[in-house]
Amino acid sequence: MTEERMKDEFYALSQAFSPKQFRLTSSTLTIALQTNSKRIYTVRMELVNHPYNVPEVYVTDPKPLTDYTGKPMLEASHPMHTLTGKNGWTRICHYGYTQWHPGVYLYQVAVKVRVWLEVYETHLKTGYPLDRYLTTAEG
Amino acid sequence: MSFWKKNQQANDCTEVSEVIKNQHDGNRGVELIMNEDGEMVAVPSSQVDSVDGIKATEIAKKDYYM
Repeated sequence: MTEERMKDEFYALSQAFSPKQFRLTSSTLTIALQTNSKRIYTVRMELVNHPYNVPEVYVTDPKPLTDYTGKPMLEASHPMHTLTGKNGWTRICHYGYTQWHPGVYLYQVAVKVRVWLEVYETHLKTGYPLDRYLTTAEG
Repeated sequence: MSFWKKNQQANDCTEVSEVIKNQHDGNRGVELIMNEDGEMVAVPSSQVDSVDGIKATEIAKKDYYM
Protein backbone atom coordinates (compact mmCIF):
# COMPACT_ATOMS: atom_id res chain seq x y z
CA MET A 1 0.00 0.00 0.00
CA THR A 2 1.34 3.40 -0.88
CA GLU A 3 2.01 5.98 1.79
CA GLU A 4 -0.66 8.23 0.33
CA ARG A 5 -3.26 5.45 0.41
CA MET A 6 -2.30 4.65 3.99
CA LYS A 7 -2.95 8.25 4.97
CA ASP A 8 -6.33 8.16 3.24
CA GLU A 9 -7.21 4.84 4.87
CA PHE A 10 -6.21 6.14 8.31
CA TYR A 11 -8.26 9.27 7.85
CA ALA A 12 -11.35 7.35 6.70
CA LEU A 13 -11.03 4.84 9.54
CA SER A 14 -10.66 7.69 12.03
CA GLN A 15 -13.97 9.15 10.87
CA ALA A 16 -15.79 5.90 11.61
CA PHE A 17 -13.83 4.47 14.55
CA SER A 18 -11.71 5.73 17.40
CA PRO A 19 -8.00 5.70 16.54
CA LYS A 20 -7.55 3.79 19.81
CA GLN A 21 -9.53 0.92 18.26
CA PHE A 22 -7.25 0.14 15.35
CA ARG A 23 -3.67 -0.23 14.19
CA LEU A 24 -2.88 0.16 10.54
CA THR A 25 0.35 -0.90 8.83
CA SER A 26 1.14 -1.26 5.14
CA SER A 27 0.20 -4.95 5.28
CA THR A 28 -2.37 -5.34 8.08
CA LEU A 29 -5.24 -3.63 9.81
CA THR A 30 -6.05 -4.82 13.31
CA ILE A 31 -9.24 -3.43 14.75
CA ALA A 32 -11.29 -4.05 17.89
CA LEU A 33 -15.01 -4.07 17.16
CA GLN A 34 -17.60 -3.90 19.91
CA THR A 35 -21.09 -5.14 19.15
CA ASN A 36 -24.29 -3.73 20.60
CA SER A 37 -24.15 -6.47 23.26
CA LYS A 38 -20.76 -4.98 24.34
CA ARG A 39 -18.79 -8.07 23.31
CA ILE A 40 -15.44 -7.14 21.81
CA TYR A 41 -13.90 -8.94 18.85
CA THR A 42 -10.42 -8.48 17.43
CA VAL A 43 -10.34 -8.48 13.66
CA ARG A 44 -7.25 -8.73 11.47
CA MET A 45 -7.26 -7.73 7.82
CA GLU A 46 -4.35 -8.97 5.74
CA LEU A 47 -3.60 -6.53 2.95
CA VAL A 48 -1.77 -8.02 0.01
CA ASN A 49 -1.39 -5.64 -2.91
CA HIS A 50 -3.98 -3.37 -1.32
CA PRO A 51 -6.18 -1.81 -2.62
CA TYR A 52 -6.17 -4.02 -5.72
CA ASN A 53 -6.81 -7.37 -3.97
CA VAL A 54 -9.70 -8.22 -1.67
CA PRO A 55 -8.34 -8.26 1.91
CA GLU A 56 -8.43 -11.48 3.88
CA VAL A 57 -10.39 -10.89 7.09
CA TYR A 58 -9.99 -13.00 10.23
CA VAL A 59 -11.45 -12.82 13.71
CA THR A 60 -8.40 -13.45 15.90
CA ASP A 61 -10.16 -13.12 19.24
CA PRO A 62 -12.20 -15.03 20.27
CA LYS A 63 -10.14 -17.82 18.73
CA PRO A 64 -11.87 -19.52 17.04
CA LEU A 65 -15.45 -18.35 16.83
CA THR A 66 -17.86 -21.17 17.54
CA ASP A 67 -21.30 -21.71 16.10
CA TYR A 68 -24.66 -22.26 17.81
CA THR A 69 -23.72 -25.88 18.51
CA GLY A 70 -20.28 -25.01 19.88
CA LYS A 71 -18.42 -26.19 16.78
CA PRO A 72 -15.35 -24.13 15.78
CA MET A 73 -15.99 -22.08 12.64
CA LEU A 74 -12.80 -22.87 10.75
CA GLU A 75 -14.20 -24.31 7.56
CA ALA A 76 -15.64 -22.65 4.49
CA SER A 77 -19.39 -22.49 4.89
CA HIS A 78 -21.79 -20.91 2.44
CA PRO A 79 -24.68 -20.51 4.91
CA MET A 80 -22.38 -19.12 7.61
CA HIS A 81 -20.46 -16.77 5.32
CA THR A 82 -17.05 -18.11 6.29
CA LEU A 83 -13.99 -19.21 4.37
CA THR A 84 -11.28 -21.64 5.45
CA GLY A 85 -9.58 -20.23 8.54
CA LYS A 86 -5.92 -20.36 9.56
CA ASN A 87 -3.99 -20.24 12.84
CA GLY A 88 -7.23 -21.09 14.62
CA TRP A 89 -8.79 -17.84 13.35
CA THR A 90 -12.21 -17.74 11.74
CA ARG A 91 -12.09 -16.18 8.28
CA ILE A 92 -15.17 -14.29 7.32
CA CYS A 93 -16.69 -13.32 3.98
CA HIS A 94 -17.17 -9.68 3.10
CA TYR A 95 -16.92 -7.98 -0.31
CA GLY A 96 -17.15 -10.13 -3.42
CA TYR A 97 -14.43 -10.06 -6.03
CA THR A 98 -16.96 -8.69 -8.47
CA GLN A 99 -17.78 -5.83 -6.11
CA TRP A 100 -14.26 -5.07 -4.98
CA HIS A 101 -12.41 -2.18 -6.58
CA PRO A 102 -9.64 0.15 -5.37
CA GLY A 103 -12.25 2.70 -4.34
CA VAL A 104 -13.42 0.49 -1.47
CA TYR A 105 -11.85 1.60 1.80
CA LEU A 106 -11.04 -0.48 4.83
CA TYR A 107 -13.52 1.36 7.01
CA GLN A 108 -16.24 0.02 4.71
CA VAL A 109 -14.92 -3.52 5.17
CA ALA A 110 -14.89 -2.93 8.95
CA VAL A 111 -18.52 -1.79 8.86
CA LYS A 112 -19.46 -4.94 6.92
CA VAL A 113 -17.61 -7.02 9.50
CA ARG A 114 -19.41 -5.11 12.27
CA VAL A 115 -22.75 -6.09 10.70
CA TRP A 116 -21.52 -9.69 10.22
CA LEU A 117 -20.77 -9.81 13.96
CA GLU A 118 -24.28 -8.64 14.88
CA VAL A 119 -25.73 -11.33 12.63
CA TYR A 120 -23.32 -13.88 14.11
CA GLU A 121 -24.62 -13.05 17.59
CA THR A 122 -28.16 -13.46 16.30
CA HIS A 123 -27.12 -16.91 15.05
CA LEU A 124 -25.86 -17.76 18.55
CA LYS A 125 -29.28 -16.86 19.95
CA THR A 126 -31.51 -18.39 17.29
CA GLY A 127 -29.49 -21.04 15.48
CA TYR A 128 -30.42 -19.55 12.10
CA PRO A 129 -27.51 -19.48 9.63
CA LEU A 130 -26.10 -16.09 8.67
CA ASP A 131 -27.40 -16.32 5.11
CA ARG A 132 -30.90 -15.90 6.48
CA TYR A 133 -29.95 -12.23 6.87
CA LEU A 134 -26.99 -11.59 4.56
CA THR A 135 -27.10 -12.08 0.82
CA THR A 136 -24.33 -13.95 -0.91
CA ALA A 137 -22.49 -13.45 -4.16
CA GLU A 138 -20.39 -16.19 -5.72
CA GLY A 139 -16.77 -15.20 -6.40
CA MET B 1 -42.50 -1.22 28.99
CA SER B 2 -40.47 1.97 29.37
CA PHE B 3 -39.21 3.97 26.42
CA TRP B 4 -35.65 3.13 27.46
CA LYS B 5 -36.42 -0.56 27.42
CA LYS B 6 -38.06 -0.37 24.02
CA ASN B 7 -35.09 1.57 22.71
CA GLN B 8 -32.63 -1.01 23.99
CA GLN B 9 -34.55 -3.80 22.30
CA ALA B 10 -34.54 -1.91 19.02
CA ASN B 11 -30.75 -2.15 19.09
CA ASP B 12 -30.62 -5.84 19.93
CA CYS B 13 -28.58 -7.93 17.47
CA THR B 14 -31.70 -9.75 16.31
CA GLU B 15 -33.36 -6.46 15.45
CA VAL B 16 -30.24 -5.28 13.63
CA SER B 17 -30.20 -8.53 11.65
CA GLU B 18 -33.87 -8.15 10.78
CA VAL B 19 -33.23 -4.65 9.41
CA ILE B 20 -30.64 -6.08 7.03
CA LYS B 21 -32.94 -8.93 6.04
CA ASN B 22 -35.83 -6.54 5.45
CA GLN B 23 -33.63 -4.35 3.28
CA HIS B 24 -32.74 -7.35 1.12
CA ASP B 25 -36.40 -8.29 0.97
CA GLY B 26 -37.27 -4.84 -0.35
CA ASN B 27 -38.74 -3.41 2.85
CA ARG B 28 -36.71 -0.21 3.12
CA GLY B 29 -38.56 1.59 5.88
CA VAL B 30 -35.74 1.31 8.43
CA GLU B 31 -31.99 1.67 8.01
CA LEU B 32 -28.93 1.17 10.17
CA ILE B 33 -26.60 3.89 11.39
CA MET B 34 -23.35 3.20 13.25
CA ASN B 35 -23.25 6.08 15.71
CA GLU B 36 -20.22 7.73 17.28
CA ASP B 37 -20.30 5.20 20.14
CA GLY B 38 -19.97 2.40 17.58
CA GLU B 39 -23.49 1.19 18.24
CA MET B 40 -25.71 0.02 15.38
CA VAL B 41 -29.05 1.75 15.65
CA ALA B 42 -32.16 1.34 13.57
CA VAL B 43 -33.46 4.64 12.17
CA PRO B 44 -36.52 5.31 10.00
CA SER B 45 -35.37 5.95 6.43
CA SER B 46 -37.00 9.38 6.49
CA GLN B 47 -34.68 10.43 9.35
CA VAL B 48 -31.41 8.89 8.15
CA ASP B 49 -30.04 12.09 6.63
CA SER B 50 -30.53 14.00 9.87
CA VAL B 51 -28.71 11.47 12.07
CA ASP B 52 -24.93 11.64 12.56
CA GLY B 53 -22.95 8.47 11.98
CA ILE B 54 -21.93 5.98 9.32
CA LYS B 55 -24.78 4.87 7.11
CA ALA B 56 -24.26 1.14 7.45
CA THR B 57 -27.16 -0.18 5.43
CA GLU B 58 -25.77 0.67 2.00
CA ILE B 59 -22.44 -0.91 2.93
CA ALA B 60 -24.03 -4.00 4.46
CA LYS B 61 -26.31 -4.54 1.47
CA LYS B 62 -23.34 -5.30 -0.76
CA ASP B 63 -23.30 -9.06 -1.23
CA TYR B 64 -21.09 -11.09 1.08
CA TYR B 65 -18.96 -13.27 -1.15
CA MET B 66 -18.10 -16.95 -1.05
